Amino acid sequence: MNRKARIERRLVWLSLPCLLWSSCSTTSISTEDLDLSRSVPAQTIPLSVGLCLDDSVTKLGDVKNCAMRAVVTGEVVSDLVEQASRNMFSDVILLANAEESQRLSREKIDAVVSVKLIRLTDNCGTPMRSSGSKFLPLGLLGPFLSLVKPFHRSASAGKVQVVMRWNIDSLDEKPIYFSQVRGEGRAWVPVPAELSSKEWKQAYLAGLRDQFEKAQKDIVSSGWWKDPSWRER
Amino acid sequence: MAWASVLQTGEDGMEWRRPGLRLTSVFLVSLLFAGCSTPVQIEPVQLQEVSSYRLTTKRAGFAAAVDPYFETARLKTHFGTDLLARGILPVLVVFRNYDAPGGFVLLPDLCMLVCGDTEAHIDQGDFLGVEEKRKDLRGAEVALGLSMMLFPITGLFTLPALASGEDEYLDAVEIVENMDKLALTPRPVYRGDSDSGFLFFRLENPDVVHRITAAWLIAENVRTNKRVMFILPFKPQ
Repeated sequence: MNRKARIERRLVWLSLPCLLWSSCSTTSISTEDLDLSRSVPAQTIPLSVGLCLDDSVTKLGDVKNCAMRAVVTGEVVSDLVEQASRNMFSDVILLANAEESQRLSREKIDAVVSVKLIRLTDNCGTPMRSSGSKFLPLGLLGPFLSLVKPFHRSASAGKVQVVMRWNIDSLDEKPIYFSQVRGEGRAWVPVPAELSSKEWKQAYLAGLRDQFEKAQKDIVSSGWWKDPSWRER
Repeated sequence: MAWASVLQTGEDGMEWRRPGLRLTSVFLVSLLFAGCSTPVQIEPVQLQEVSSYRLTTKRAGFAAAVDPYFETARLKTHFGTDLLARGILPVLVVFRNYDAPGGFVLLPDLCMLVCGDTEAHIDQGDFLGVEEKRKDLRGAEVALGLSMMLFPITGLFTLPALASGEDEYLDAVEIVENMDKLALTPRPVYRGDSDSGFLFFRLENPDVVHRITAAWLIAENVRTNKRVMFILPFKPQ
């Protein structure tokens, strides 16, 4: 083997980790990726509310999966909660904590909305349904065996689950309305799923969108805000 | 060429000369079967107006209905498996506030089925042992990885079993996820609203279904904690 061939071979080997690294580090979801202003409910609740985000949202940090180092960040989820709240209510004031609602005068807000993230998970790294023909169980050996043509599975069913609890309380801290809303996002992820960050991003976007749209529909369509009983002390 | 060389014609026709070929053929056939399993099929549940259910009652401005899923065919259609055979009875609950002021929420933990002298309560556990199946599968995959390295031929023979284990796990995941989606997620119901979903009752054994006499549902006002109870007697069909 001559010197030139040896250098070429070394370059190929060196480029492989870079290729793997780049596929694992595509951009995570940003607020621009998921614009909730296009999914405004038909009606707006004519109330001014204080929005209080639970630590599960604000201190979420980077959500990682087996393919991406940061699929979504807590900051983005907080922004989306605020967007969804502004879509539902005529006025939204951000509260640093639940106690702050006590300090705000009754003229400023009618109720307090608090949001808690219950679940934000996917099935990356676990066995998944295949879209095409399946000849072998490829869980652990998948990334290696799927590179071999006869063992190839066209794509796996990637699933993302987003569950949030929306609480609406009166200023005297009694519950008015609450609902646990579940969103689901699906995407066909090419094998090996561990290297398909673009598709996982799509699944996360679909899951988040589904959750926020369902929450908006659920809260606005419920008749709690038309019932004057919750204002009674 | 390689295949042709191992097949030799003997006195009684074709003869398997190499034992490895027999093993390989068995492996290939079992592999074909392992890849042929059909994923579990689940159809959505169609909800009706509360008054159109057979077991329904009206009280204090509310209407409540229950629809127990006793039939194997209905269970397989909407849940993908015969849950009753596993000691789980899904009961669809529909709750409507026609004319009561305030928000009332159903309390699933207090709802129950009266079965003669015993009661059945809801269960939110790992119904089909999904977590256990996942652990088993992971263990099997690790064992397969090791055996493929140490004894490749033996390792190959465990692949079909692993494939069927994976299918079983995926079916269980799908069934449990569907149950999770259909389960009642309690929320306050104000005038003109309704809430519905399944409560999954754990039965001591499937025979208990013949002794169920009534379903008790309890709803509570979220602000005043005032409770309303609904008793729905099970009428024989």
